[in-house]
Amino acid sequence: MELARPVATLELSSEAERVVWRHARSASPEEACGLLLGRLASGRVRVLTVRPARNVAADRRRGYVVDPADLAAGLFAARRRGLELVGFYHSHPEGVALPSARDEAEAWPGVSYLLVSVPAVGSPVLRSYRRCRGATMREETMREERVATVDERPGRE
Amino acid sequence: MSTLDEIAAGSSTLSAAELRRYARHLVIPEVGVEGQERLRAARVLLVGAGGLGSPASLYLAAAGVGTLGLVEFDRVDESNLQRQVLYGDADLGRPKIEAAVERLRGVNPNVRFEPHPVRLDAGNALELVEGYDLVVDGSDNFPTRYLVNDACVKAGRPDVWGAVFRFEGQVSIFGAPGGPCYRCLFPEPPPPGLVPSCAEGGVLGVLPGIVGALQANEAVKWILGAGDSLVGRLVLFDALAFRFRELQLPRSPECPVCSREPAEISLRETAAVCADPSGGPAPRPGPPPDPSGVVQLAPRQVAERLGSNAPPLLLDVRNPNEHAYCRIEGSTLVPLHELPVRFEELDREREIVVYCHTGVRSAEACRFLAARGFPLTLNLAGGIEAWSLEVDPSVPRY
Repeated sequence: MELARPVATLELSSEAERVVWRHARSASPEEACGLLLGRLASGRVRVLTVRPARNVAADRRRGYVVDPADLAAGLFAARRRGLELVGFYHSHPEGVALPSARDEAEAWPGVSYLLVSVPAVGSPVLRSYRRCRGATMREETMREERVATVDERPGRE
Repeated sequence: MSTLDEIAAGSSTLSAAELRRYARHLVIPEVGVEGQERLRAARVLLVGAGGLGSPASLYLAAAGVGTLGLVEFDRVDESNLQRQVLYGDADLGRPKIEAAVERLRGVNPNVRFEPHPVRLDAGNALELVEGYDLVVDGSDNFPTRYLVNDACVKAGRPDVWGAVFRFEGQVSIFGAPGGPCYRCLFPEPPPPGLVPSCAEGGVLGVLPGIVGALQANEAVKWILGAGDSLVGRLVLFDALAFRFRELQLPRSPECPVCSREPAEISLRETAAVCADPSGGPAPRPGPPPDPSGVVQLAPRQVAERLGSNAPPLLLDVRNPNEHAYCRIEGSTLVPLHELPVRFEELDREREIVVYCHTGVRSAEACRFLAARGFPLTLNLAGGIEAWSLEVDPSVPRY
């Protein structure tokens, strides 16, 4: 198992994380998916809004396709608020929060992929990945990024 | 008054032996003689004496908690020993509660132990919880978790909650006055489906040791009234990356349990969501479909069918390494992930009994095959685990 240093930090508020958890739990055993809107700074991805989306995959137990209408609406909402699409989340109801071969193959560069697994007891587990250059500079692989909880103190923003 | 002054003045009720035993506690200002007396007066209920309950009970007994209640009805199995440090080789096959009390009494004979060799259910949960000051939940299934939460809210007892899965651990306190409960976060268990349990998904043996010790820490602090409690905070531990995170958990005004008056809270059992043989209700004897539409067969019924004139095809959907380790004689291996590209190899006219380790993956395979026009797919309830326990003990368990 390769344990590379996290390539970036994905910052989520407790509330945003709870939205992702609840969506993953309620969609189980189907995969849940959605958009992460926020701001990018060097090495930091700050998620400011989580937008659950419909999964329109043919077999929603084994994959996800973000509804194009929800993607478009999310991009409009981001522009309106001066935010960027910083990533996507989706759940692995029957597995662990590791990217599947398909996740690797279809990942866009430059955005975070937040994966949520739903274990039997306890809360969903989050891990985030992004597509990065591999050691050979030509291949790109999914590398884990750190997930951090950042809660605004009341009164700030 | 300092600890030494208290002892000198004879105002302490601790015996000389207790003063020696708890010497390292007594010198901590947050504990002292008064704190140690509080620990001795405390009554703590541990639900489950497994991976989490082992370290939690060992530390609570060592710390001098006066009364420890244990709810556990399982027997010690070889696959427990990788993490359940209350037990050793010599305990294999013994009721856990018997072995646990013996071990814990050896750690601290001053503790009073109250064994409850029962499965916590809607009928006994409240009475059990009400008899204690605090509950440490180390159970391994959703129905029990929700029941402990609801009973703790109703009885006004804090539920020191811990959970582990693979490399991930979580700790919090639910149901404390003013704080959130587990249903504020997740009002209902996830719908029946593919939810891996520790038996199915695995757990790093050290992890429940860490999380159970954290639960003991929170229980001791609660009894002492010391420090900041985990009420309203959920701590997440990632053992692989070695990172702790903390999530804020507000109380939900729409919570179906803790937003009500205690008298209005009714305890009911939620359906088991996974086929964990140690957790959920026993596999049903008859073949009524489960809520997900999969027809379940008990191991003995499968054995009868295999002995009949028209035996069904036995389909193993586990991974090749699991199949190599143990299998039911005469079964065909098609790992679940290969099923979508290999299901045409199977005979549609023949009855098919699908099995996996505990019945979760095979239920998924049944749904998959039924959706593709296989009319006769049945699930071996409880998987090869239940087969080994109920039909053929020569099949090794894992």
